[in-house]
Amino acid sequence: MVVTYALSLKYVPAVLVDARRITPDQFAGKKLDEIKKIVLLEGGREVRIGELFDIVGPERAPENPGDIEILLKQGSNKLCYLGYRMSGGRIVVEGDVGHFTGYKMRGGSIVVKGNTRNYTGSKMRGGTIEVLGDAGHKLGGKLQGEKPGKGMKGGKIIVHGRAGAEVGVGMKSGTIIIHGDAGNLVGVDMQGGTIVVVGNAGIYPGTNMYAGKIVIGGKVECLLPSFYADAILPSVKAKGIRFDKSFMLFIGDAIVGGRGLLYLSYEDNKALLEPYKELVEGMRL
Amino acid sequence: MSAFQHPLGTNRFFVLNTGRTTMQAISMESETKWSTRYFNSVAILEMNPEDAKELGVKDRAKVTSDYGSVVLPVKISKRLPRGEIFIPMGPWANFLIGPDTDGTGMPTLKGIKVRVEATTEQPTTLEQLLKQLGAKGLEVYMEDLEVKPGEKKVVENVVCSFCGDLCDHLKIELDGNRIIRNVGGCAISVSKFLNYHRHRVLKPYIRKNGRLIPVDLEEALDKAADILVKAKYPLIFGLSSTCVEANEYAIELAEILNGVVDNTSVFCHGPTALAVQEVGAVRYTFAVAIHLADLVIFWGCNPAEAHPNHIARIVMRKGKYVKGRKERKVVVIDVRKTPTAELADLYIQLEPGRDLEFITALRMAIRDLEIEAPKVAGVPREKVLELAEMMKSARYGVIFFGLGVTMTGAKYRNIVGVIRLVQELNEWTKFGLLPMRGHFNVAGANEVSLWITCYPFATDYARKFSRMAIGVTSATDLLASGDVDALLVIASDPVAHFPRKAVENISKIPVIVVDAKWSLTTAFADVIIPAGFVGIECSGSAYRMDGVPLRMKKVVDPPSGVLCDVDILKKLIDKVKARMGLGR
Amino acid sequence: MTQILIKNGIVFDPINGINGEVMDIAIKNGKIVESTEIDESKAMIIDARGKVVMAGGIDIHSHIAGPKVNVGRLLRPEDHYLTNKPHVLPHRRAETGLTVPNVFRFGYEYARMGYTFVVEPATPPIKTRHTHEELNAIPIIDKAAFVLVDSNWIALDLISEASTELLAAYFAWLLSSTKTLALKLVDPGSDVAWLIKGKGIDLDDQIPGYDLTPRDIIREIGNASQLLRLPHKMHVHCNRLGYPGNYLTTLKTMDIVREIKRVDDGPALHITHVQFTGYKGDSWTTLRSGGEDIAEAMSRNPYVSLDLGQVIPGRPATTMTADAPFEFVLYHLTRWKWASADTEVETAAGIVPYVYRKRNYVNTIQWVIGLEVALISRDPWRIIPTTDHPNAGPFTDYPKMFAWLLSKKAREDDMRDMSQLALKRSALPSINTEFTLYDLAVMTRAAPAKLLGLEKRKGHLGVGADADVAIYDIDPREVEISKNYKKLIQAFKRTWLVIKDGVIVVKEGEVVKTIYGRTYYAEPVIPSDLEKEVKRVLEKKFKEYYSITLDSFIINEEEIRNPVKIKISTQLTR
Repeated sequence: MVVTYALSLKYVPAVLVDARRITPDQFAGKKLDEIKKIVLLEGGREVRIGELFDIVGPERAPENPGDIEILLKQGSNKLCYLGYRMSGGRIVVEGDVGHFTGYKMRGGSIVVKGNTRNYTGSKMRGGTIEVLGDAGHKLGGKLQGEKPGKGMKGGKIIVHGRAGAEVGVGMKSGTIIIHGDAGNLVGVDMQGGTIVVVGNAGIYPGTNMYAGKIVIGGKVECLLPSFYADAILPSVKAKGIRFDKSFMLFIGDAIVGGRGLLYLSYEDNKALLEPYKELVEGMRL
Repeated sequence: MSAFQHPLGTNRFFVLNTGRTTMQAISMESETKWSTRYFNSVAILEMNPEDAKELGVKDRAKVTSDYGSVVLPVKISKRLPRGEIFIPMGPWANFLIGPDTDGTGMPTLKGIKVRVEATTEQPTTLEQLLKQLGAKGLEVYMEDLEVKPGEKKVVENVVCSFCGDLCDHLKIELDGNRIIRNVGGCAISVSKFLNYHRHRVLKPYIRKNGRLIPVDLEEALDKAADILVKAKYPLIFGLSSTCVEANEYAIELAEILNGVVDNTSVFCHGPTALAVQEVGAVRYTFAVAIHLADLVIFWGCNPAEAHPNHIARIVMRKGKYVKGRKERKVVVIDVRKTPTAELADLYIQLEPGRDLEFITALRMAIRDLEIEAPKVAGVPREKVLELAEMMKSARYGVIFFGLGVTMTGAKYRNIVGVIRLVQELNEWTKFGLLPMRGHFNVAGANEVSLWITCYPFATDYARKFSRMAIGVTSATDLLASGDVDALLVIASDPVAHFPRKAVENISKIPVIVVDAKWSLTTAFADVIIPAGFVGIECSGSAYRMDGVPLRMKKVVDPPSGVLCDVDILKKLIDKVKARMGLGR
Repeated sequence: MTQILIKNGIVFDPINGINGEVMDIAIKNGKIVESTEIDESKAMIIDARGKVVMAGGIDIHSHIAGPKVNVGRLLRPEDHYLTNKPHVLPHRRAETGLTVPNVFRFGYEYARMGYTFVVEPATPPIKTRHTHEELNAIPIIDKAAFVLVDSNWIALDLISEASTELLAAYFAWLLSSTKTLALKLVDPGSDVAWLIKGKGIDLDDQIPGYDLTPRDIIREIGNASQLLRLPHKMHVHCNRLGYPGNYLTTLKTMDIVREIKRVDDGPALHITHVQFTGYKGDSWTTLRSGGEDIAEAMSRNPYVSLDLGQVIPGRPATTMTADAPFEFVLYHLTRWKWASADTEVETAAGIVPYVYRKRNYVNTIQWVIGLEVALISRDPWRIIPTTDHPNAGPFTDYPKMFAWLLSKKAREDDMRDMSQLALKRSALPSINTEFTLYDLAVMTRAAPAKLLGLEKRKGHLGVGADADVAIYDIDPREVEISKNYKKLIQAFKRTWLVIKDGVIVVKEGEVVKTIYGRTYYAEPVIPSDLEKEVKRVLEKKFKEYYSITLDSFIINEEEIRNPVKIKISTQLTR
């Protein structure tokens, strides 16, 4: 049986809050009093959850995190690290959140009804993150300086709005779906997994891609010369989303010896892709 | 698609680039940013003559981006391609720039989409601009330090404290405390030294009821310490125009406060550091280029204006194996034909924001991978192959690269590409690259940050140990989103250089400014503490752009009552520690 | 000032011939004094019963400061993300990093292991100010630095002109103006070849642009170091580092002492991280240990000392060295990150991340080499255990290395996880030698103090020594270290008490106070006419070669936090 803890902000924080201990795993098995005493960081200051939030919920939390739902009645773009390493259960935010939402998540689900900021779903291993608004940069990716492949390793991220730059940077496996537009460098350093952008994308999708699959259903600004046109397809289906229009398939990024698959909507990028058409057709002969 | 491929008409978009110019630098150093001279050199828009004609622009134009709008006097310049305009770096340019950094800490300062139209409105004044940004007050109390003739002195081998070239051969002549000559310095250096005494902050101030009131140093330091200790997440920023020792204290202060510390590389060559974190770097010191470089490439930088002694010191000088300019090939790669490009043997013009494409094509050419497109980033394929061949057959090639490569399009990914290019060229021959650092000790700020925190900039201590997450702990992002609640600015002018939104957020928090001259940030300050100039009144250590550490000299005493940054920070640390119960 | 009396400790002080004697150590005003000088009513009494007492440890080769260490920090953010220790103000600043930690971790972690003196072994002259700024910032330990000289254009000019005295005078000037302690050679001559041709060279190859070979350079620098009577003559990283078969170059390099005009007794040459240049075989698949040959050469040649560069399997490393051509080669093997820096007139450097894997054949052979050299030659006075931090392993793993040296069982237990094929092809599994605690005290205290010429005040607990003391919670009378090596590791990882200059800095493995140590440098005294001549030469050479002025190059004493000048009377002032 799933129980809910409803958290209401007592005040809007003016600085970044490290809220990594707001997860079903941290609440599991604790008494409500203990939960209120869980320590967060407001900027560099320690603050207890109970000082920042009013909490309504059962006197004792279930032992199994999977039976816990945490509901934030308002969001704040200052609340960072929500859902850090969570293994099960659910977090729902009726508003925005800050950076590193779902960082190193292993299971369960996070639903953000507003926007998220940077590093959402970074180094995720399992579970689902759903963002109804926009997501920030470096969605589902790795940290700076880490080897490509240290990004998302499993799980699913769905963004209904827009996403920023470097979606899926260095990801190894898992699924990212952006219903709106994505920013520059979609799938940079990708080692595997699938990214579907239903809207437009920024510059140079697939930079340094070694393996994996990227589908851009809208316009792209430009393309790297290290992607070789391979085929024209009448339609594309990826992760349950069907595009009934023609796509051009590119293989790359040759600069890293990659054999990733980059599908670009031919319909929406005629001016950019026309020159490649001859090459593809030339190959067929 | 670039701007000039769009259809004509008043809905047409232009591409805006911003950057340093000699006049901007000289006026900033000699007169401060409050001066008419600065206004004349920075509040100006350069545009192509045909574009001006087509739009009906006479002597001024209105520029609008997604973030703001300014009216500026226009200077017609044939150097600009059609569809592009240039505004020197400064508050007018930044008014048009968005807060987003793509998670890289670097706002988009070049290649911005704007609309340009003819107008009869008055050009936007500094006061109007600052008011819109939320300045707390506009009065400045510039004082010239009294310079009295006296003992005549010549100090040799003085190190210049302007740019990252750190020329150490200056000869400074003094008459009492008046600096009368600077032999060996470039025009900007001369301007800085000879005008060091002008437009100074000579007293501490506290803003009370909107007005700046002079107070004694103790009261100012107490107020500053109170602000910092009260804050939950204070940000310390600047540090590139002060010495290494001051940097060490600033980071210590951030650690004590569990706050954030960042330096100006965040909007300069921070992306270069981010790229090194990803793939490494291949560098050299100046004389390696002097003695061995038979191919010198200036990419996205304009040393003729921003680092005026650079070309003479490195390209022109005769080396052991390469006898000067005539035995070197000079290549300039840029989006507009800068004065530096006039010196080039080969000039390659790139479409703005397309550097990564061009870099990739070069890498492919070097590895004999087939390039299918006839043009890459606006450059014909044959030119790409020509340059690749030139690079492979050089004996020792060097690339000096600037903000043109760090600030646009793929940002730090451009640098990752250039570094990989250089690493790949090392299979064929010797090749290296160096970032053209702007401020004289921004390289030093990175070095200090690395040895104390292990990160080059954008470091926070919220969890009582150092942490860097670019896009999160970077000053540009923190201020753009209003994530911090106090700001200490040391030897820097963020109001003049940050995007509009960040400056508006600066106006909402308590601000402490430690500076020698009246910066624009003083209009947003709640406490102002006067400081001496490192390299003129204060000694200390600084790092050249190639990592060579030099000792900045003291040629005159600081004004009475004015301390050096090091001492100000030491006192501030003591006061903060006392308030936090940390003893000595 | 403070008086401390350490009572009834089990003292190991080889310089004074003390081998596990139970005795008192008295400290007053930062120095070791006779017990009679202590007023026990005023002194702090430390009960060291059942505990081992040694002088503070001395590490003669560890990359702790300078431009390439800092590039290493920049290159490895991933090494920092999960290796943090929060500050405890005002006692301890925050610590970060594993293979390239911040300055605070260096000082604190060395202190936690009971080390009180560490040498940064390779600093490029033009950037040595940077090295000193980092050394200044490292808390607790005393330090020194070795200056790079082998690929120096000025030195090579002087060697080409056969100006032996001028060369010696130049080095005297260099040591004094860079505030360093000894001369360092790295893959001698190869950085010249790297700058000009993009690759390194072997001992008898020609250095491009000069009518010289690396052998010539080593010999001439050796001669100069003898004229200068430097306590630590030459610290040499042999040519061909990293190449299978390079052990022969090491043996040939050791033989060069025959060609050197020796003035002093004692080692004429120190070979550093010999493991990296101890490879037999002609490819990675046929790699074998050259440990036996090197140990044998050591026993025949009393004029060489060495340190191990011991590999720690299963641990990350960040290789960093002035051997730039080697790093370029390593980059080809790892294919991830590579940083390189060519330094005008002087040298170059390279940095490449690496991981030593337990089951990897090559890495196991590498592990074997260092231990074979030590255990077969059995001369603790000339063999210093190091990991060439961070090249072969993190310095924080030293206790593991000590366990391998003192306990065969420790070696056997760890061998179970390593490449069995590599072990089958090595002598190590059949070696029964186990060093004693006394030997350990020699290798980590007495010997390095002597090799640096600092044995008057460092590396021992006799009267007059600096009060740098380490007390380990292990009783060799109760614990049989060769069986119970884990207790040794525990004790040496978290020292029970560490005293630096008479101040308690570590208690039960934790740093309780941040103080700052001293920086030692050499100032060989040369006759004034020679000094004048050197200055004239330098004025000319600086204008010709460098991009900075002579004035900018010189580091003044005021720039060093706590400088200690070691004046050396040379053969030149006859």
